[in-house]
Amino acid sequence: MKLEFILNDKPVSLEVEPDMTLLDLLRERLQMTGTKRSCGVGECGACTVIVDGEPVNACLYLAGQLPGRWVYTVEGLSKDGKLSALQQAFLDHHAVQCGFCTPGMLMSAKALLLKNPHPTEAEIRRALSGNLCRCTGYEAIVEAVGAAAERGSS
Amino acid sequence: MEFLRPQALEEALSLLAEHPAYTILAGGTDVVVRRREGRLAPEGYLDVTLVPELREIWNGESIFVGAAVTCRELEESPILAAVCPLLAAAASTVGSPQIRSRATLGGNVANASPAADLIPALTAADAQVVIQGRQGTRRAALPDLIQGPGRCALEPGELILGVVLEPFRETARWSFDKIGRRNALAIARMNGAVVLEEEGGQMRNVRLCVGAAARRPVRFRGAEALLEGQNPDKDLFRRAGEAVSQAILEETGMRESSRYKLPVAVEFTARLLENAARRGQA
Repeated sequence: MKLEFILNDKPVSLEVEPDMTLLDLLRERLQMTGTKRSCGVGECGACTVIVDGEPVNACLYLAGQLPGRWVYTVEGLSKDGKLSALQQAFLDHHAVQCGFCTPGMLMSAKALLLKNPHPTEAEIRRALSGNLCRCTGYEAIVEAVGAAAERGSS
Repeated sequence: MEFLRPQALEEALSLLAEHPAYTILAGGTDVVVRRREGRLAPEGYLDVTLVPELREIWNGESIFVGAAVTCRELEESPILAAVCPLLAAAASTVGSPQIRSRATLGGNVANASPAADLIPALTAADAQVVIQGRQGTRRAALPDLIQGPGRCALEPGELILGVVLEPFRETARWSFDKIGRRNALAIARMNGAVVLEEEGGQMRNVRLCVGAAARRPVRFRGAEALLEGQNPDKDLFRRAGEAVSQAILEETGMRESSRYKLPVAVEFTARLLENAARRGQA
């Protein structure tokens, strides 16, 4: 099928198999490897991206359902080579250990802040509850999201 | 690989009649996992997420909730908050935020997992599933529709349109609860819902469903009968829990998980009923 959708604010058009996952499409076809592949069954959140404002597992999203959607990946967070406030907060709060869960954490946090710019700590924890960090560095991640929210931009 | 995306109900039904073997797809949170695990090899897909009739929640004489409504939409629906908060509460515990963005009511019913979180809530709310096939529509209660793990009794060419349920009355008391190894992304070890009406301090029309305990969703009529017409009472709630535990044993026989589930069912049921009664006082 011919697929047209919006990826990080830019229109994309390509020929794909409709039963390919969004994760494979991003990583294998578009060489955008910021979105990580881990469990493949929607349990770890490493592949989290934002589609039409909602956080989703890219490993469970089929290309056939993408036409016309707005997709944001971790590559879409920085602007003109400058980190977003959310990314900077992750660095400032040492919220990155091995880094493998980080893109997914960032996108879940971004999805939260888009809808709710001033979340409580409980809301932050709930928003990140679908993302596993095997280094178990959750406290710093929650603090980083809170700090980005306080600064009023993500 | 054909990937059909009907944009109207009529079109969806005629495509389904033409391709009864195609996999009906909504959020993909079960279908894509089953495909990856080699348990499903779709010949083609019929994506129902663009059918407007399946995307609606409306409140007429009864409430209709479309099959392709996502758990996020259930969780955030102002209509459900007012007239069936139980379903919103159950939806808010499904999977994770990412799963709730995609997983749908119809998918939860059609996949018929014994651990499905919406099914006990829908059963306790006495929801009727609306199913359309070539011969017209029919309605089925969940305990009749779901016949065992993964076995939803849909005929070829039939599509779940959604569910209808009656709005809760002001006297309604309810609760939903779930036990898992962690809050998010844990398949329920046990889940359940209760709806009852409190009239003059007495419990009436008690509907109790405990899930992930038997092969299919059932109401626990014995426990319901114990509670009917009685005043809320801790000892009575425990006796109702014992009746549930006994009924699970009769339904499933002794299994490996019974040593855990049977005693837990007693406490779990008692807590469900206490929470429903407490919600009444608030």
